Amino acid sequence: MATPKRVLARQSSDLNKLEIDLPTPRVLLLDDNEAVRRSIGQDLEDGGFLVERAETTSEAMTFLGRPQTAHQAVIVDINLLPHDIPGDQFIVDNRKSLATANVVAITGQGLLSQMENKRLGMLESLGVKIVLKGTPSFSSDLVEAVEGKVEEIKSDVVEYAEYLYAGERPIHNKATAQLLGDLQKFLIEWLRSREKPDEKGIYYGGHAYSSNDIAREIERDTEIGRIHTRALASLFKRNFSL
Amino acid sequence: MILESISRVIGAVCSKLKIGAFDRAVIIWAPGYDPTTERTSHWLDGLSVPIGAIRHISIGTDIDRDEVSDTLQATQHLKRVKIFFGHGIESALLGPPEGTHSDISLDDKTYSVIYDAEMVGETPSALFAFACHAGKSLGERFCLPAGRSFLGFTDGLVLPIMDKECRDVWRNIIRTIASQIIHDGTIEPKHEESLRELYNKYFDHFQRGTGKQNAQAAFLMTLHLNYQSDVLSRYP
Repeated sequence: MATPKRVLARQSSDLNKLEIDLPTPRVLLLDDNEAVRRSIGQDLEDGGFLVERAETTSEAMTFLGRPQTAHQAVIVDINLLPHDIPGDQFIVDNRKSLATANVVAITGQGLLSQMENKRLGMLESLGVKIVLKGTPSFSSDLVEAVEGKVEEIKSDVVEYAEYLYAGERPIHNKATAQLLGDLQKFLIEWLRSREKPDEKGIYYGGHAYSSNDIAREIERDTEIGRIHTRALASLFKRNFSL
Repeated sequence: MILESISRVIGAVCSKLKIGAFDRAVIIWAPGYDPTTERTSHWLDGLSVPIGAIRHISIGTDIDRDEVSDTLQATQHLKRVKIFFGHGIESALLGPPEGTHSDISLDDKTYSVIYDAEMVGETPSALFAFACHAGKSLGERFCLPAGRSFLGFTDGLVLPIMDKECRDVWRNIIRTIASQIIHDGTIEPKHEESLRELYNKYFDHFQRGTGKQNAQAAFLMTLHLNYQSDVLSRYP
């Protein structure tokens, strides 16, 4: 099969158009599901990438260990085969060798467990992009993440934060609904993980609340719960410099 | 009567010459009557007031609507600086329940309305309301007459004060801004900027500075310092 080539068109003062042949960008795809490897791989190849497919982390290590095979992106399914290590652990264990790649974690779109949310949150803190399988925009989100277009990937989150900030609950698509839940879950988990979750030191109205109380109020969607959710969205916007 | 007139003239002249603030009344209301306000109302203790200014300070004591009305009546010939620290709703500032039919209920607690739009007069006046929601309609109504200014918040305020560090931060924020407004006699854009700077300063302290080591509080502090800055509202 002919290897596709990418062409960069560049304007300069001397030449109207300069075409430069670039090496084909290489992508490593680690997913235990053969159908996923086939479909995602095909999408990426159609987009001009050279795709290396791995079913297990040991196969992936073989690709990573080859000399002079820098990967533009490494896509890792979080949940691999039971006898394999989890995808997020693979990313963490190999973060040095993945330092120059756009690392993308993919996972199912369904309701994520608290544990999965924590794992994804940890990956995001390492700069890993998360793309949810099964969303209508999955293919385009994935290609943008592979190409490092982080702004576009953030768009749903940004939109979500805008809604949250306005005190609204946008459930116009599943991805946004998921983000809404993720942020709230993050805050609830954090509140409950504090050293003294029952110590009452948070004051609102005429009441003193503990962290556990606030977590419960967020779940109950009461006024103080909604204030915390809006405050979280505001903090989110600030940290993304929106 | 004659003495009062002479005193007013002397006061006006001194104020023109920027000697003291003889044409000003400083009114501080910080009722303390529930777990939150009992803990916080004394944060305004000992604020300095310019020389010559008439002071009406009610901190940590029972304050009712009649007392507030009397204070406003007694100071209607003066420029007024009002500092309120307590509970609020969109249209009013609240005090302890009086046990009358005019009390209102919020979140299974009862309050009296000690100041609302009906009590807004024409006297030049500034109001800093460190209270929930009052930055919505009360602030706007307060500033309809000329010569009036308001600083407050448009949403609920949550105060994480689980330790001394947090307590000192909030206390310093409110005392600093209240002092500036009392000293200047009015609320201007610089006071809003000053308050935002304080929020930012402490936000950075808890997000990137030594406050980050306070693992039990840092995240909640950044959350609410940032949010209070976001829902700050100033009129006109």
